[in-house]
Amino acid sequence: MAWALRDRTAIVGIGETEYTKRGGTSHSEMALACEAIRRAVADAGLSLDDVDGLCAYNSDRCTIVEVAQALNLQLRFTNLYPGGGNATTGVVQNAAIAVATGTARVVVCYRAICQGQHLRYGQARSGFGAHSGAAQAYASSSQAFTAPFGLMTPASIYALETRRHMHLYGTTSQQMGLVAVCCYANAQLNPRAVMHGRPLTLEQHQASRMISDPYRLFDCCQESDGACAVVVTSREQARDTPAPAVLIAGAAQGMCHGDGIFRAGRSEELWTSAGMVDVAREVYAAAGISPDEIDVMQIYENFTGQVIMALEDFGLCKRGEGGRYVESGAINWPHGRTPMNTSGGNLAEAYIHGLSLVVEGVRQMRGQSTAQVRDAAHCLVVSGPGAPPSSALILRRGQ
Amino acid sequence: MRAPTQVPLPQADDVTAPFWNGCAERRLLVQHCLTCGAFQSVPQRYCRKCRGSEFDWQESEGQGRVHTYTVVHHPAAPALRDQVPYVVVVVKLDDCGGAMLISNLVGDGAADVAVDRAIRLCWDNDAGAWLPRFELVMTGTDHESECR
Repeated sequence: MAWALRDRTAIVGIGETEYTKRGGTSHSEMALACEAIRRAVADAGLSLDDVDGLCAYNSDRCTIVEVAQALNLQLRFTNLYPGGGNATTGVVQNAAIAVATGTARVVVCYRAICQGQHLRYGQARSGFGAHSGAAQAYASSSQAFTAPFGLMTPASIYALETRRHMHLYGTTSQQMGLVAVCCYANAQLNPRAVMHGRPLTLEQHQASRMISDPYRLFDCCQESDGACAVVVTSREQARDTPAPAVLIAGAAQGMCHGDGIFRAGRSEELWTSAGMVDVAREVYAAAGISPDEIDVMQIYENFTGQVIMALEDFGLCKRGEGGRYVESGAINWPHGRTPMNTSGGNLAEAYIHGLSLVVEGVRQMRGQSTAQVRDAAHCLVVSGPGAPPSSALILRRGQ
Repeated sequence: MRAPTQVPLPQADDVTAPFWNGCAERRLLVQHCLTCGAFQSVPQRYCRKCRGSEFDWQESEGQGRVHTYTVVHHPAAPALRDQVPYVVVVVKLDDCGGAMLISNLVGDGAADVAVDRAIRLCWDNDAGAWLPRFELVMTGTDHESECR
């Protein structure tokens, strides 16, 4: 259905700290969160006194109350999106809703994550989202049906779906490797990227150690330290900001019947998709465009196989053809049909739980990416595939 | 190939207790909705299909197929360092409405795991609790089960 808020709100500011490998920063997560927010607000030509709303991931250790206190904000709107990477664009949609309804005027979305200081996502965990913690001696409720069998990392969980996709559609490890090669190639143009100066070949991908079959090291997102933030306000307000306004053309979020955090018992469709078919249909309808009109895309890479499934869910290719689509070069900058993850993405720029993909989408719509797609008018941003409730966003270049 | 030990052990709650009590007796019980007939391998307070709340528990004979799998190579915790690689499978049971559950493939030939391979239930107490594991169904030859 058409979205009542189409083009009524805009992203007017972006801010990032330095991105490093986990353990590479000397700053606390809270210091990084505040710095990213300060930079985003300054980029928007606004003052922290203009900010009256905060949206965050509910997995962020930098809670809204502590951030607001640290920056001495006066708030009239706050919101947490449930989960992790699936919140990437959901926080932006929730900010847009607050702004368009007059609930708040200037809402900042932020994410800070320091896996060098806190729990590493590649290590055994129990629980999800805000309840996530190091694995304990006992696992209860639905966790009792996974952890005792050694299924304790995202890599292992998502590998299960990818193996089923490979079985049904002939998707190969090489095709997944080409997702990583694409991201690393883009990172070579981006001095902010952690993997800048460290190109990746398909041969290196294939030779990398196995993490959880079929996933090798380079199929997995990084563990990073850093923070970023974006500023959302109304289209009217956006006219007075220094950078070209980037319109929020469409946004969608949702979770379908039968999906969830425990995988056993899912329908066949959910075993071989990112679970985002409904969200995809709704985000295109919200923005009033079709997949053909997407000029550039930022797709959250938790793992390369999930990117392939997301490409299918979002109609860039047909079901089962995602691997061959990647192999065709369609995602590669600059000559591919729809260049993907032009900053290097979670795999090669930094893993800031996806919000950095929104930042890169804004740069593309401003014409300021280090891998700029010429005349790009629409950017699709897809949150963590296979992690409900999912979310997606279509950004439109301002007129 | 063996299943991992020193992993978190299951802790029952009011909803899952019938399943774990069944395991203690080496019976694989699947929650069965009396309203719509759906089976769910991870017990819930309500039926995920019709939201009914009346259940009984049906015992599976333990025959099934590999719906999908992963071979875990990276030890995600120090205790797993000498236990990798191990095989995690999603089992699709032949009975109980094709209910699916997460388990391990153990024993001879587990490294030859493949989607759609026939497997069967075996019980394993290495980890300190009776857990339903699976092994490949070998055709043509009798073999000694590694499970008890």
